[in-house]
Amino acid sequence: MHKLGKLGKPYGVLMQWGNADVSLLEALAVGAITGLVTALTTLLLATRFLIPNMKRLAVSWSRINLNDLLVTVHVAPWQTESRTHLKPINSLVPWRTLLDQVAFDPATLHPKAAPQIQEISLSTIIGSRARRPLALSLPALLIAPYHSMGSPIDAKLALAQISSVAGSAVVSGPGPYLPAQRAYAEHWILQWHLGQPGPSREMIQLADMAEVSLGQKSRKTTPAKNHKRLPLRVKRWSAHQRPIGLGASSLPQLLSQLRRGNPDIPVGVKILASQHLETDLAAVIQWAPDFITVTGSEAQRNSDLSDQFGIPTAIAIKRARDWIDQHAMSHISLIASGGIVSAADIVKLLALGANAVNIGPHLPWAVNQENEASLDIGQMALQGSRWFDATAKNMRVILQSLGLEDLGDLDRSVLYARTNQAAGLLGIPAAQPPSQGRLAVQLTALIDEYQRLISSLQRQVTLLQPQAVDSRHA
Amino acid sequence: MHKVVILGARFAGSAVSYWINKLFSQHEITVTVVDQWTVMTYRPSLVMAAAGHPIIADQWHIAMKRRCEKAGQHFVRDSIFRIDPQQQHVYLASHPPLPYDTLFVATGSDQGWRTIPGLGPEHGGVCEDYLARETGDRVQQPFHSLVIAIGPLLQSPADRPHLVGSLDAPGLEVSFLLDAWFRKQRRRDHVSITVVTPAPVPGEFLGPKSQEILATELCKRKINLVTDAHYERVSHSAIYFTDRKPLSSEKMIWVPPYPGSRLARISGIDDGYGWIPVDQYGAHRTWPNIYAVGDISTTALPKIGHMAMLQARTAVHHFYAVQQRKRPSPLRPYVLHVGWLGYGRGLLTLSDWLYGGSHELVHVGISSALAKACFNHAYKIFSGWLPLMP
Ligand SMILES: Cc1cc2nc3c(=O)[nH]c(=O)nc-3n(C[C@H](O)[C@H](O)[C@H](O)COP(=O)(O)OP(=O)(O)OC[C@H]3O[C@@H](n4cnc5c(N)ncnc54)[C@H](O)[C@@H]3O)c2cc1C
Repeated sequence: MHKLGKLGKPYGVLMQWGNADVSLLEALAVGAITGLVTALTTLLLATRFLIPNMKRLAVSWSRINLNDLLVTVHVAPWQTESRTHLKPINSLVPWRTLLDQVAFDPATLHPKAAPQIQEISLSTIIGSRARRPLALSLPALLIAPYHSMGSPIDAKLALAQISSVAGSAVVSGPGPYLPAQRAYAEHWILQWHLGQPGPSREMIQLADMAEVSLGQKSRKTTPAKNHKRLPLRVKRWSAHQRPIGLGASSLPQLLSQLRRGNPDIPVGVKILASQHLETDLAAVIQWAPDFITVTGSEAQRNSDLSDQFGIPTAIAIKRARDWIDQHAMSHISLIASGGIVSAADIVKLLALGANAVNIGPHLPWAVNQENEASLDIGQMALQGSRWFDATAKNMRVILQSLGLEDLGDLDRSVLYARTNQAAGLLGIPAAQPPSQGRLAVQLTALIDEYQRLISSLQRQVTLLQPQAVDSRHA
Repeated sequence: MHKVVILGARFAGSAVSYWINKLFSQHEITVTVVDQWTVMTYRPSLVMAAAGHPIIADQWHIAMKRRCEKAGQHFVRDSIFRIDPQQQHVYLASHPPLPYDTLFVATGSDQGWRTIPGLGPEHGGVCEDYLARETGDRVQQPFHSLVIAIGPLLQSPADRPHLVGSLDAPGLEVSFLLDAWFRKQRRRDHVSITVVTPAPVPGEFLGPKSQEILATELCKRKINLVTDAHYERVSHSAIYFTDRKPLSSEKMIWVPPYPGSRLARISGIDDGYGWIPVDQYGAHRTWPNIYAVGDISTTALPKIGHMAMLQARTAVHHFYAVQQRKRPSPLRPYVLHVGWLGYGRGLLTLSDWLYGGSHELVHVGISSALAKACFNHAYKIFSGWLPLMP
């Protein structure tokens, strides 16, 4: 440093870097070394992770944010595992969702006896008052992706297979009826978007549960045109695809149509969670649904306006459960939808008051759509079922560490908030003193990171010093 | 033109469409085949997929739609909801009702997962491609105990011969194949295998000689056998019985209970137990223009593919004889079955023992396994329409 300092003003410009004086050349030398190290690390990462995934990354670049990128890079070698453990480095990435600001309060010195993990039950019942309630071994309902780079039909069929081997159910999703989807799914939920051609009486009778979806974009199936040229059988089929009872498109009419079609199964409504959620619930409750699905803002990830609408899933579930309990309607099952990607997410939402959750249409095990496109139904199904297997195991581990034997024993007392914001929003105790909010936590993390960077630079500078002295003496 | 509708396109339905194509000209009848899948999953190969080779589950699909359309038959992919025998219509989920003059019902038995409390396909299975694939994948994980359980056959008590297990042969095949596979993987000493069946003997439908061979083989290979099982309920990790201690297991593979067919029940053409009552020609006892072939029919005992093919032949020949005013010949049932024993060996049984006969030809060895492999491949190559049909 001294020698360089003597080189004169143009080269010896001193810079203040932390609390050390550094000349321009020293800084350049340090920069070169750091650059070299960074380049080597990048090269290593590129050969190990990025190049094998380059095609996927390139195609899906526009849809990927930093979170996704980190996850993509990490997930490549062990894609089949649950993504529960693949949270990106906490310090620089903000909380993914409000749920990430919530943690479990483990049973410690005075727990109930920790149950045997094998005996922990994950089963749930939806629509307990229906003649044939939906009994699931895993409280997750799978939703088929709306847009898929691969064949959406293949994705739907794979999901139906996954739902059966996972002990859950599959939601029919938009688009034409798929007999194979019904055949693969042990539990098939007929979903009906307002404004779409209605299902036939037979479809309603083949369903294990039916849901009218409000507030989703209605996706119209294109009717066959140019009827004259079509073969007779196709014309007859096309004539059969008439909407039923959709003239008025009113929800009560549709619900009663579904009930008449199949009086045994639970019938419910799916709504977007808005700031006036309670008013919506009061309106929906008039039609005596067996269940209500509440979709939080995290569900809209694929649109440009993404999470600009609605309230987060966690808050929606908390408010909906409070409202339902206050009105003594606890026989109505509550299903959470939107942004659920891990076992922890599922258990947290169940603790906040949901009876089950929707998984999809952004499938947590699909690293991205392009990857899915290159897989056949069998591979997709295996990937998904492995994810569910890992997720069910993780859910059992969480319950065991909470000292619980059954999902039904979950309540908000097992949760605490990592931030005051989450504590306030979700009505659960906070773990931090009141002065530290989310921003404060992130700023502290940022400062820590910079301090680490500075001290590592200082170390490198000191390493350079003896060499400089030696060369001067030589 | 006479409208023939065939419901189901696997062993039984495919054999019906073969015989119709063979006996009738296209000018006499129109044929429509309905199934929810356009491809047939060839079930006898699923046992291999479940025994650690999941990829096989997706390799044994036979394009039935293509096969039928090549022969000038119509193929409709849809869920069959109900048959109206009076109106002579079949109601489908997303197509208009299908009128028929003669109907062949070959839709098999449903899988009665929910007939045992707590049981579901999530416990592991082998009877469909996605179940066998999943099982083949799961057995690759480390674990120490495996139970292969056979569900009951929920049959009318009046039916003879009376069998109690849904179908134990695939369960036994999986146990032998897995035993061999685990040994190859050097895992066998760490994994206990138990076969549980509601029947009093293994190989219930085969015959005394084959049953003895199977019992000896199980014992020799240290595969535990629990017979006369009465299931009470099933949990994530154990099977509970009504009359004995529960059996814990880390992994399970189920051949589920056979409860008959919901379609037959809803249509009011069943025997009160979900099976379609038929005469010795396969014709319905009340509706003579409805034939039931394969697993769905009461007399199709045991529920195996070979029997389904025999029934299809008898039913279509009866239909043909009626049209031509000829004398039809009734079904003469016998069992022809080859089960895998692992290590490239098979157990061949040809027997009429179940139907009061005394003939039982049994052969254990590589040649039996080869015969089965040849049949399987021939079935696949010819899409079920073999040059020589049983
Ligand atoms: C794992 C396993 C291995 C076996 N191995 C052998 C063996 O080695 N040898 C042997 O002889 N037998 C074997 N069997 C038995 C044999 O597979 C069955 O007996 C045979 O499949 C019965 O044929 P099926 O056509 O009557 O009925 P299924 O095979 O059950 O076929 C019924 C068809 O109808 C369709 N269908 C049903 N309901 C509907 C609906 N509502 N709407 C639309 N379509 C519908 C289904 O999609 C299916 O394609 C095995 C069975 C299993 C499970």
